[in-house]
Amino acid sequence: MSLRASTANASGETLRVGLAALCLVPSRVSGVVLTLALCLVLGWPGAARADKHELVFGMSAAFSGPARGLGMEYFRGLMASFEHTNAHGGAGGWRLVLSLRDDGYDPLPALSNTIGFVEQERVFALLGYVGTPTTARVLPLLKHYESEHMVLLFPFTGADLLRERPFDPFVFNLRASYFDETRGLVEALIAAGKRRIAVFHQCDVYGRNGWDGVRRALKAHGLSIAASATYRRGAVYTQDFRREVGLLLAARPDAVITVGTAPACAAFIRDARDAGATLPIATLSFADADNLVKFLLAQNRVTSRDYTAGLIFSQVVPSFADPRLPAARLYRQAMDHARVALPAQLMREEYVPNSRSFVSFEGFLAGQVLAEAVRRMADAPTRARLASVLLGMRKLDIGIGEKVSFGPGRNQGLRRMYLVVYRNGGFENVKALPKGWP
Amino acid sequence: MRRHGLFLRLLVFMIAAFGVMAAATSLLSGRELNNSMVREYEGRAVALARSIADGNTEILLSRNAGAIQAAIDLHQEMGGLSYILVVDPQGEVVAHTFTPVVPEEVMAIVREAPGKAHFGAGHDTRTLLLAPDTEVIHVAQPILGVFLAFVAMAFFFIRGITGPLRELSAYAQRVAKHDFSATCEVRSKDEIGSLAEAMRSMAGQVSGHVNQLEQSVSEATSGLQDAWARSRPLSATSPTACWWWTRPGSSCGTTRPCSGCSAWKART
Repeated sequence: MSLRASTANASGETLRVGLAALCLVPSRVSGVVLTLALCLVLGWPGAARADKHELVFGMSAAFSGPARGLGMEYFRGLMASFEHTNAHGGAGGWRLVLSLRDDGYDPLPALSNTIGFVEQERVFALLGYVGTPTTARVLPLLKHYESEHMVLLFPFTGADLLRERPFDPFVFNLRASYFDETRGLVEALIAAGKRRIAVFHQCDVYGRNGWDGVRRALKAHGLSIAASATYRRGAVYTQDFRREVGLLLAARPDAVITVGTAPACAAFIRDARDAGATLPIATLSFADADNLVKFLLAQNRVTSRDYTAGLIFSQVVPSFADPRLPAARLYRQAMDHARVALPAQLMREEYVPNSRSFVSFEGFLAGQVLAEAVRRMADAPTRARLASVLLGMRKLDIGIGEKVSFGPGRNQGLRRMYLVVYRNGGFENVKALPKGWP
Repeated sequence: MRRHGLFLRLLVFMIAAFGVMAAATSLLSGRELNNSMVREYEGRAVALARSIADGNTEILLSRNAGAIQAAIDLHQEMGGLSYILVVDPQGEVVAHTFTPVVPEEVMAIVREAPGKAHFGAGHDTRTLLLAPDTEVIHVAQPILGVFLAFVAMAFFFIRGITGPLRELSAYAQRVAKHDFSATCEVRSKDEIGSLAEAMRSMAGQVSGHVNQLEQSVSEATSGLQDAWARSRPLSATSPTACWWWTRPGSSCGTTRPCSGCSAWKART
């Protein structure tokens, strides 16, 4: 019943957003581009519309609910990249178009959205899905559509499920996995002398993946998780986590790694600090550092306590503020020029976007890699070719200091994670944590 | 209060009897239902645990806790299911659906079978009896309704018995005070009806006997008067022989006409 309701709901929300700049368009496609620029194009079948030189990608993400910040920011980054690409003649002449559906970070709508994308809209590929439980639910569907060569590109999740058998041929990941992120965090914490590590995680596949990553990384040092506590997906910032804080602090940990969403992790940090715990608390990239800090800064003003101290954020992209990185410079420029707004039909809840964020930077990089893949098959883009082009991508320099490489048995382009702390009103990359920090 | 003593005693007794029966029925059927549900849930939980274990060999071999969690999350929405828990052969819980932690009683079950991979699915039986929307409450609600209906029926039934009894009692009291004009309208074909009939006939007989007695007394009295009159000459016009003996309005019993005994009594 709920599946049916979700389907009906989701199909009503389908929108195609065709965004392109009004200038710098080659004369061959300028007529088409100008006609379609900055307007909503309602769907018609055919993913690769040869007559229009347009490729449509389906994105199902959270545009409502507590996790909507991620969907919004990832979409903004992707669209900034698409807009930039389309404004410069498209990817090998092909305009990149994004079709959006809201799943509210709920697996069932994600499932029905995907069926809609594949069977009704016949999109070229699925792109930029947000969240582990949602993406994990879609995986069997990708196997089902194997004969149609349907692939999921660059989902915003580090779930290892997407990087292993049997689903790895259907997914291309750009970012480091949660195992990579948690290993980096555990190594940094152990190097700083923190050996008793507790885990606060979401009670689902995402949280368990992070918990497992911490467990494996600790095991390599002959250690185990000091204590763990879970929370239900969908937690909001106002939720009371004092019980969970008490359960973890009872094990006298040296540090806590949280595997959750921004509101849940922020609420946990608030309650832990209110309980007098000054220990380091770490979060994964999915916790959306920018939005998490927004919650805590608002709390700072309420209680005059510094909630952002002693936090360590794992990120899978470098700092977008780094002037040495060409991709960061291009991202800032694209974001400044982008006129990206979510279609009104999907803006059911208020959201104030971040002008720049780690999440939108990651979306931007995903858009850049996709554009390069399309360029490499610009003469005749097909789904089957898309997979082989990506698999053949080796050491692609996207301007972040790390090279993107795919290949058989390797469906993850980047492996590096970055340690970030919040200091003096901004994020700073750190190589390691000082001994005895914070 | 005493007038309603029997009514109240009967009503209290019947409510108590019905209450005990309703409570016993509720408890027994609740316990039976609970047992059968526990059996059914146990069967379901075992089947579910087996199906997850058998259907995900590939995932189990990968030993990726996230993938195992994904497999159990699919079943989380199953109705009545309380939790799913997966334990590896080292006794470590690798995936579960509890928040915030695995309860100690479940961990105790896990510790009972060391050295074995353990797939558990369970239901919180406490909720079967206590939660407001559980099956037991669904069974107890109609029983409570039937009990209340019985109480209402008992009220009217007992009133149907004690009402005529009260009327008969009032009738008997009036007859005892020689009020033979009292009537009793209790008529039915049961024991109370025959009691009423017997009382009516008894009152009629008593009334007849009294009248007969009065007649005999009156005759004896007039005999005595005659004898007395013969022994003392009386003026024929003097009605002093008129003897008021019973009560105002009754016949004076003289053999001669008189103008009114009450007046005579007043004069004498």
